[in-house]
Amino acid sequence: MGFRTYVLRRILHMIPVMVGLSILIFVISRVMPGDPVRLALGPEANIEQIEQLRRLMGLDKPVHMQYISYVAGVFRGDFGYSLLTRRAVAQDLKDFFPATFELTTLAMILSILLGVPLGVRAAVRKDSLEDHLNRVVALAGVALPRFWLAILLQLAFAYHLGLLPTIGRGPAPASQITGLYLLDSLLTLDFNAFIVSLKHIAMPAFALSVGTLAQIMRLIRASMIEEMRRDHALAARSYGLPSNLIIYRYLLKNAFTSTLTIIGLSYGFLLGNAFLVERVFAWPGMAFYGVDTLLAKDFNGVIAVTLVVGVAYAVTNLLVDILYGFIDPRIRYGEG
Amino acid sequence: MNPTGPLLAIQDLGIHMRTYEGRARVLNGVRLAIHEGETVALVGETGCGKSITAKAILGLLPPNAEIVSGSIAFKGRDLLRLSEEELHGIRGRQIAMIFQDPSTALNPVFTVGEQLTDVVLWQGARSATIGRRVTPEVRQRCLEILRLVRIPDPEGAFGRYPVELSGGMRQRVLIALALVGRPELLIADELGTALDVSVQDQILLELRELVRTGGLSVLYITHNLGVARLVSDRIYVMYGGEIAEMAPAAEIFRRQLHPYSQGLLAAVPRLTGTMGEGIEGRIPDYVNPPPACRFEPRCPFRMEVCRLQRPLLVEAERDRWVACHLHGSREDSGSGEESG
Repeated sequence: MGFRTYVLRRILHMIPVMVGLSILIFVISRVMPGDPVRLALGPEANIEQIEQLRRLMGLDKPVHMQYISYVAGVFRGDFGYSLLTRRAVAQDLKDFFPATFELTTLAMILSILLGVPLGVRAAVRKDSLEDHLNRVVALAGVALPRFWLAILLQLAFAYHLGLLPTIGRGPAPASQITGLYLLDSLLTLDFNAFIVSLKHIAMPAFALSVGTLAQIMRLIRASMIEEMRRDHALAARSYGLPSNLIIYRYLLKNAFTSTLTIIGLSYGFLLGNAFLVERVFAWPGMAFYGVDTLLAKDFNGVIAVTLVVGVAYAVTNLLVDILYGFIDPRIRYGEG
Repeated sequence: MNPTGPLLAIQDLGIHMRTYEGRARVLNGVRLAIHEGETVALVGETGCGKSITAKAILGLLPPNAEIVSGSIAFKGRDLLRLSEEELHGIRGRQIAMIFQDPSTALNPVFTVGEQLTDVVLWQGARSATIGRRVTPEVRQRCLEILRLVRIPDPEGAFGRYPVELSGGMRQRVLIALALVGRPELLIADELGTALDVSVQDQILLELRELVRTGGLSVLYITHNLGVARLVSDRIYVMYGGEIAEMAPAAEIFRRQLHPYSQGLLAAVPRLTGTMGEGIEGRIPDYVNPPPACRFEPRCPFRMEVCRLQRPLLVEAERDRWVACHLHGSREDSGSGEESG
């Protein structure tokens, strides 16, 4: 199977996943206790008003019809109206999603950039004092609740040292293209705005990344140690290849394939944990919106948030699968 | 002995391994020599210490191994005394090894071309830079070596991953990887054992041709006496981490001096007759080896002395060395007049 066929198959596999996800979310939202119409209108509303809004929102139709019209709407970019913010959900998403996407993506990049080299180093120095220390710190990193770490960081860097802003995303760059402040300020070559955005995102991104970073480090360490024991590692040494080539190219590429799967999965954890970290740092992302819509039983908002998170998760894993096939030829040939 | 001395001379090599069960004495006073242009086979059962001997030569012993005695002289230099850096310069370019299992000894996530190119580019280098600069000369050298090991479509194989090649082709690639640095000594560990017998024979014969035309010295490591006879000039029989017998390949088939060699040969299945007899018992415990002769518990000819005194490797007949109390040194027995 060629690489292109492999990628195509992976993309096709995503279709049933997305259909299943949307049905699941839709059904869950409809079986949640409480009546969104009554909640939206308040205790003063009369029966007629309630019936009218119900008709307006299409809630009087059978559930499968509601689903079909909802999906049709999503394809037009119409997620319905939010009862909470009283505007189009699509607009809400446009405002809140980039903030969360920027935060989780930066956290992911941080985790990989720090976790992989630390893991390799720990594997090379297996059983040394440094290795043991690393492992203790990594274990703590996995175990420590993100919001707790977030508060500690705020205390240290914002309150005592005054190096970084405590909360918020900072001012938006002059021109918004993607809604990602870091990217936008770079694209417009506005370096001052970039620094400001970076200062704001540094703590939340780090707090969010620690768990994933530790996980990646531990995984890379374990699979590197396994790879070092393989025949091909010994063979590479017997050919007189330099050790940096063997470790960072020959073994790491093998070790990375097993870590990739986890990276895809941990993007989901990052999205989940972002909800906590966003609270602590008052980060105007999906967390605010998601939690508030949930409490207000704002159907359209809840479904949209869940759907977007689900799609982000699925797309990340698709990318991981594609990367996987790219790195490891055995995957493409259905072996190993 | 060759007046210039052997290319490789292992003297009294002793290696211990730290294991959970205790200290395993896996090599006990191993002695082995390979002269220039000579092909030597080291034969023995699985676990007798053959592969450890090979890894010791290249300085690739596992971290729990400890060299307790002896020397490995290569062109007069003791490899055991060299620094890791000096060994790094020798590996691949002076001494190379063909690995045993073609399904695990190639890196699965790099193409044949990438792996060959890296060896051509970086062999012996202190460190590699990011990216490979594959000049036409480098590519030419890789294709040339693939042609030399008779890979039918070198250009095609160059861009393939190991998983896309048959076992025989992978084994040929492993040979190419070992030969590309033009080593003087080649160590072949159980070459072709993982392959079909017909493919194995073909590869062995091809390598024998390559070695003869190239004037290489080779150490074949095998459990198969038949293979050893096919490819080697001289055979060392190893048992329990010791050399039991050494003789020219043709002669050891005519008559074996050591009881273990006799058993080993009797175990080779033949087309005529039965499956072969095999030897009673199993390889010795290395943590608590038999006190004197390690083969004594399995030996059909065991005597009182075998449990008291370790038999030393002596020249029992002209060019035939054996470590067994059944055979004395030919000097001692007075038949050594011609030795001068």
